[in-house]
Amino acid sequence: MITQKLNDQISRIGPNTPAGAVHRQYWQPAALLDEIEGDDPRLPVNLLGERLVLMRDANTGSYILTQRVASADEAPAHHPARADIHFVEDAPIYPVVEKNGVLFAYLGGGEPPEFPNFDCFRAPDTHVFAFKGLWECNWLQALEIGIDPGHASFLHRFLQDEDPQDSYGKQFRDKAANTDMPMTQVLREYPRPDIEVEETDFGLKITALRHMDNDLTHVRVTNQIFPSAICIPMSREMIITQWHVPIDDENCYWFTMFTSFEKPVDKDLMRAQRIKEHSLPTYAPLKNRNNSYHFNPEEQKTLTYTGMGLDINVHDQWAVESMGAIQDRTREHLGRGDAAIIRYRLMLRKAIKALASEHLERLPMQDAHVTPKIIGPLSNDAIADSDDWAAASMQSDMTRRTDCPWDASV
Amino acid sequence: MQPDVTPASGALPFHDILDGYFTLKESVRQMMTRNHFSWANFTLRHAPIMDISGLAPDAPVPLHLRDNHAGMIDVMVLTVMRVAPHDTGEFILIGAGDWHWLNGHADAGLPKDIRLGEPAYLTGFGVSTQPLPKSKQMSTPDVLANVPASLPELGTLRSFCA
Repeated sequence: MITQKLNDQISRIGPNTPAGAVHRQYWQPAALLDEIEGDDPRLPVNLLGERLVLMRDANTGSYILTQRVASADEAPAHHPARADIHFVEDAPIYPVVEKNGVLFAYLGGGEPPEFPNFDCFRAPDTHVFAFKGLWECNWLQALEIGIDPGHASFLHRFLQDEDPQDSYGKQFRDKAANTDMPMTQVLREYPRPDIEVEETDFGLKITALRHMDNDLTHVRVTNQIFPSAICIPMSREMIITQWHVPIDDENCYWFTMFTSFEKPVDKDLMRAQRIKEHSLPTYAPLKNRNNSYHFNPEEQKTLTYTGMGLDINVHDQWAVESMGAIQDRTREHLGRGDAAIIRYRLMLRKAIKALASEHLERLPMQDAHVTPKIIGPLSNDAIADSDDWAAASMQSDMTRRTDCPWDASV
Repeated sequence: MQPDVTPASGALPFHDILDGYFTLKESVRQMMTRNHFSWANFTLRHAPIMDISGLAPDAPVPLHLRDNHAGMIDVMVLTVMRVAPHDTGEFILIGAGDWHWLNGHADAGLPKDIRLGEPAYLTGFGVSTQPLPKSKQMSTPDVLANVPASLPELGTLRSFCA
């Protein structure tokens, strides 16, 4: 429960805002490579409260971002036609770098930071699939749901379990670790995890421990990547690295890089699974507030906790959008179970203070020598004897990394 | 009441989260009790606070924080000691910190019944009668890294006790 002034400080991201200044010290996903058409693109990009256009630099051939003319009442995800895009004269030019299907932009001043060597960046293109989607809410509430390990046991509760053979490309449908128990059953039957949070070079390592019968513990390791991303396991084969990128204060895009360890990603299948749920070119979800997210009370009785279908992205979308455009934290009551959210806000406030006192070096991943050496992060599910869960979690990740055809060593 | 000063030798490095919304003193008491601490010294940083006019220390927190007296503890170092007799479960808090208010109360001190606006992470050393669970353990260098150590930071600290 914080005042509106403190809420604004950590949630608003426009130019000349404290949290906006923090975001501008990091590469931000700006567009999918899939969105680029032709050799001379003019792709509208709405990012961090700025109305931009992605294009090629005439001299270098590199992608760049610059500002475009836009009216103040333009819709947040407005996507003007090429002929209607006009550049702002003498506007800043922002650098753009492509990484495995995602175009990252740097909107800060000075030298951009180095990229960390995360799995989603070092895996070959064949093993990474990228997609994005629009959520009509502030980026911070979108991020905070992703770093709450408890939410999956309720929001994503499935009352029946699918055949894991049909799980490809879907979250929480695989078998748990090395067992025949579907993940949906683990989440449903053990809804109160112990949560441990550890600060790392890149953000936070979040470990959720679900103590099961027979002195076994389910261990789920996820990560917060500062300032706005998460890295979580999707299945035994794949991990998800997902940014919650502010469009403006009241809208954000999730950008996800699905990274496969052993087998190449079936991009056609994964794209088809997601295209049918979204409207292009804005990537707005077809299930949304205007159609009550296709809520079905009969389904809620028998199949899912939300009654909003099997796509867990829709569950998250409803949860974060229904809080309002910017979550009213003057009415919020966090508990110690919100450990990751508490630790994240501490990191963000530290970063805000460091920038205000001109100590950029105190922010995570700003050291040009150290950042490229950051690898991983470990992100997995494992089931182990309760007194040996840490070693078992590590071992399960090492096994798939050893079997991986690309260099996934850590 | 007299402070029951426990020697800090044998103190274990630890981390924990204080509950929000209670008075800081009550949240610290609960933290000391669940860790079986008789003595602790810890550092808090960037912890939102609220001082709601007319709200008794043992009253429940309101559902909605309106335009009341709210601010932020930028940094605070507290030493906590159990007071005798021990069966009262009482502790005293003595320390120093730097804080600011958001609504023009720049010079206001910190009332003894100050409440945290949300749960707050802390790191420190504690003397416990029982082993600390692994999830609460931390390395000494990590605890010390969080302690205010620079002269400019130490120069801003004001005293607090409760």
